[in-house]
Amino acid sequence: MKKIIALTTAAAMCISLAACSVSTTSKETETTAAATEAVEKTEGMADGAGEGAEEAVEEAEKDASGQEASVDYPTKPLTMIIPYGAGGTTDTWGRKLAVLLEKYLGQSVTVTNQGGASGSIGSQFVKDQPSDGYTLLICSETMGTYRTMNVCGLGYDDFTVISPLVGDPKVLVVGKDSKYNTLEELLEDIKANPGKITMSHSGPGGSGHNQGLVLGELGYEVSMTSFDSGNDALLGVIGGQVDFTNPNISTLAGYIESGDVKPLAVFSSERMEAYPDIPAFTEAVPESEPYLNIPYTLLSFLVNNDTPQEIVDVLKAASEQVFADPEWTEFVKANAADPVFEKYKDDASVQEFYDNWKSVICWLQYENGVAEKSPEEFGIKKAGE
Amino acid sequence: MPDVLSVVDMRFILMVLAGSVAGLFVGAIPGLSVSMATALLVSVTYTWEHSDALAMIMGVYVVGVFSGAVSAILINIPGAPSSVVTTLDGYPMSKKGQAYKALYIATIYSFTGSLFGLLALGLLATPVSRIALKFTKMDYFLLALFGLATVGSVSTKNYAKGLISVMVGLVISMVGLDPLMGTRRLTFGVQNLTGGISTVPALVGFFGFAEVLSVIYNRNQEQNVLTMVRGKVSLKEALRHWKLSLYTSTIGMLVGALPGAGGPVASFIAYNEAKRLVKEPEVPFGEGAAEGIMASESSNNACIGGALIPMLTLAVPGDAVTAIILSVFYVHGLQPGPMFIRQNPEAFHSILAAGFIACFALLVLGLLAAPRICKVITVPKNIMIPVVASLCVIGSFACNNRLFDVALMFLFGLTGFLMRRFDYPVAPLILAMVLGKMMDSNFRQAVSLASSAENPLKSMFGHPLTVVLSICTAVVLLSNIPWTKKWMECLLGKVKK
Amino acid sequence: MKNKIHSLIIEGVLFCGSGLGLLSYSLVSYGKSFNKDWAQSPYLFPLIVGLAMTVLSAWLIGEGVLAGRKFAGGDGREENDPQKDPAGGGDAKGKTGGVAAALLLCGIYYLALAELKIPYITVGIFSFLYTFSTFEVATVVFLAAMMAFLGVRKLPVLLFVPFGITLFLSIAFRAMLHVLLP
Repeated sequence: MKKIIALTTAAAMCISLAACSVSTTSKETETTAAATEAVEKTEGMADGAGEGAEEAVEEAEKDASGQEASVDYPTKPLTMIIPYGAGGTTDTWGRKLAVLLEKYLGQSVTVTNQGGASGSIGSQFVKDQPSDGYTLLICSETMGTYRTMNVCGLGYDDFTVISPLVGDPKVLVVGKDSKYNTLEELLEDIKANPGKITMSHSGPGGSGHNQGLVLGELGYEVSMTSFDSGNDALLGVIGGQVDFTNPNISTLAGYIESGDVKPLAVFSSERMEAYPDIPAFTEAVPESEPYLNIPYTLLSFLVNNDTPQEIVDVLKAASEQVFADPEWTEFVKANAADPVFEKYKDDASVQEFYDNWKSVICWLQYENGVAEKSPEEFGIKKAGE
Repeated sequence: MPDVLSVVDMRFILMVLAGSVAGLFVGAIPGLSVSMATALLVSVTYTWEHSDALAMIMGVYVVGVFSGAVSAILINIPGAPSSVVTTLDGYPMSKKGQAYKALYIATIYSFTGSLFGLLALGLLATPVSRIALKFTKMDYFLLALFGLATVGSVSTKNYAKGLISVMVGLVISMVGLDPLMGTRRLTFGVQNLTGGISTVPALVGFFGFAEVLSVIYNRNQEQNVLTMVRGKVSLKEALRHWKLSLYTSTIGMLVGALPGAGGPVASFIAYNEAKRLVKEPEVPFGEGAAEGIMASESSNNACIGGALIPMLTLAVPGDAVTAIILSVFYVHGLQPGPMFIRQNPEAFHSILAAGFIACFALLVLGLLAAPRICKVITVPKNIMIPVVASLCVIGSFACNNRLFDVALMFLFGLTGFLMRRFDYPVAPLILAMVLGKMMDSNFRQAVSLASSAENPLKSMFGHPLTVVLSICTAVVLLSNIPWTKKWMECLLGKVKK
Repeated sequence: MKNKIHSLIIEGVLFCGSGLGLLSYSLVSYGKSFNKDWAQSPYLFPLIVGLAMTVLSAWLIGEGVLAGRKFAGGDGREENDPQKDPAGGGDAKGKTGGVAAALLLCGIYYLALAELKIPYITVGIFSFLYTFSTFEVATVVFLAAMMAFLGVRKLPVLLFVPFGITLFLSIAFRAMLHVLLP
């Protein structure tokens, strides 16, 4: 008797509050999940933050009526896994995306950080979850190099790309007391003292390391040391322990403003809109062009690859809405990010983009003895072949 | 300072208070860590106004760090690594029935420590962050080594055993993917070990479950019910060590400002300093000295203010909790960094104001809760012990949601029990475990940076700070070796003659 | 007294063994590893720790040997604290048995948490819902068994305390903190 009362009250609560339909399968778990969510929401309201929740509910109702009835998704809160620690580039963008996705999906998106091992631990966790579209993954560029670096067996093809997100431009910087004032001075000194100029980067196989390798390919040999994070590498330069580094612009912005560093060049073929004074690397070294037409720090939004197409479509539609949201575009501008999501809209161009990216980076790493396994083993062709 | 008050209103105060109460419970329940609670809060608060979110999180942070001492004192399970030192004197004190006194001292000095740290944050943030920037990779390694060398000496009679315990802790910290390259080390093909061994199961196992086993082992000798000594502690008596507490708070604040070292190292160094400076404590250190609790609590709470300094000015989190607070900033579109305090004064003021309110909440909650909560020790052991055992299980499960950690916890508990039987101290092991990864990566980075220099040794040890730290470490190490001790005494004797 | 000296030497040998084990592990892994730069090699640190451990264990053995000599020399009653429990045979055995039994109980508890899958059952009175599962059932049984084992003989205590505590734990953790319980 009690149980029946409980079930009916729970059902009533979730219909009135969350406005989601209770499906007939596995009623029991469904009900409790919905009920706890309802409780959460009421708590939120009691705390005075109810407006947001209510809006979300209305949004959900609109959304539910707007979409075709073929797929009932999402009906419960989603989890977004960030395979890096809190506060990094991936985390910042992931959380922003989560907040906005919530607005358009009408369900809460809980962000969880599962850091470690170049993001492979969190990615593996997502892979092990059911492919129901309730676990989302925001990954960085290391996803493309796990196999050749022998970190784990995952790659982009284990997931379905909802959309590439943004690229975070990398800037070559030296400390404010450094003897180098221009990129040319630094490069000359590197040429004169091969292997003596120190450079810090965010970790093996990461974007900073890849750039060091590109420098090596171009004939500038530097002594590279792997630091704990991009920010840590930057502090090494500011503290005067390292000669130069190449952080993402998002970590760097405050330091440029405070005058703690001298930005020498943006590691790309074009100058950045937000910082038109910083020259592009290709201006000094034109032969670097083939390496610089891809984003080095690249974030992507993924789900498991055997997720039903209907669900993928819902997520794609929602992310389209997010990318059009002024809050998102503002954020992109404020962080001087490279809006990769604008360039690759359809599946074919996304596929081509990732293939090209992998072939450049994986071969670069392999030929420099950074990657352990040949990209050929995994069917990655060398660029231009 | 009036600017700081401008962010305060009734709602803000209520938010801090709610956070404080939550922090009190979360910190006091073994296995639930402050960092876990803040992580939970982040997911709840990210749609809120940032001042509300910061208010609540600061409440949890400040009071949570203090209340880690509660379980350390009452049941010998530190709530977090930074409360490990509190067990050294706090638990013996409560075993003597003076749990109330221990909690009272912990409350008072946690309050002064937090206040000190936050004042430093408010007034000295920029200069302190400049000092932190001066620390090279080698300095961080040496600082950790210094901390470990100290721990070996404070917690045992036999220094060799203390150091071996340190080494075991370092080995445990090495399990999993290495911090720089992501290579699997010491995992022996066990998938669950790939992510490394988290601190919570170790802390809960080595302290909590080991305690369960040793109580069972000594069942016939110890009395089942501890008696409580009634009686008030006068404020004057408690405040006797205020001068020393200023010193230990300074240590706490400075060490806290160095990312990666944080509370555990600060409290060990402070404890050692207190031991060195107080020549004649009423009760010997390690058997319930009030000075010990004072040193540990004032320094680990002063760390809060310290750890916030690099987080706000350099975007480097000083410990796990500040790492989460950092993500709150990012979520709300705030970008910590060198310009942060100037550009976002109201966020900075919210943090300070929330911190100060939380300090007073700590004082009030601590004083209100202490006389009630200390009755826990009068619960008969044969009821308490099973409860502690099940708390150990939940705590170790909750940190990663996997049963593997529970199994690890049992294993650590058994090891901890055996270590106690053979007089190996557990505290150095925990500290080494917490610091291991940071020592490893800093050491390798230092070596790698030096390897391209003309004179590698000079580039590694040439900086003035490094020289000072190396000498300090060497002195601590040598002065504790029995043979050099004797030799020194001989030498001193000769000089006197 | 004699036992203690022996134990020092045995412990020393034990740690010496593990130190050497770690040394060889890091050397072998380094040999097999793909990265041949010592400065950034993941095995540099284990190597140093292994070395330090071996040295420390030598120290421990040395201490044991020295103490042994002193003991043999006659002035045996030194430093070693006399309060250490007199290791009287039968008594110690009984207690070790107790520890083993407690471990066994915990082991069963662990297995119960790992293997048993009791579906979620929701009990509710109007709007107050209470969900329980394997964790709650196993914990009640475990608490009662442990208490009984530790000598609690009062039936009401044995019945109500485990229920009360489990209820408290599950409400605090599952409902309020959203910790996933087994």
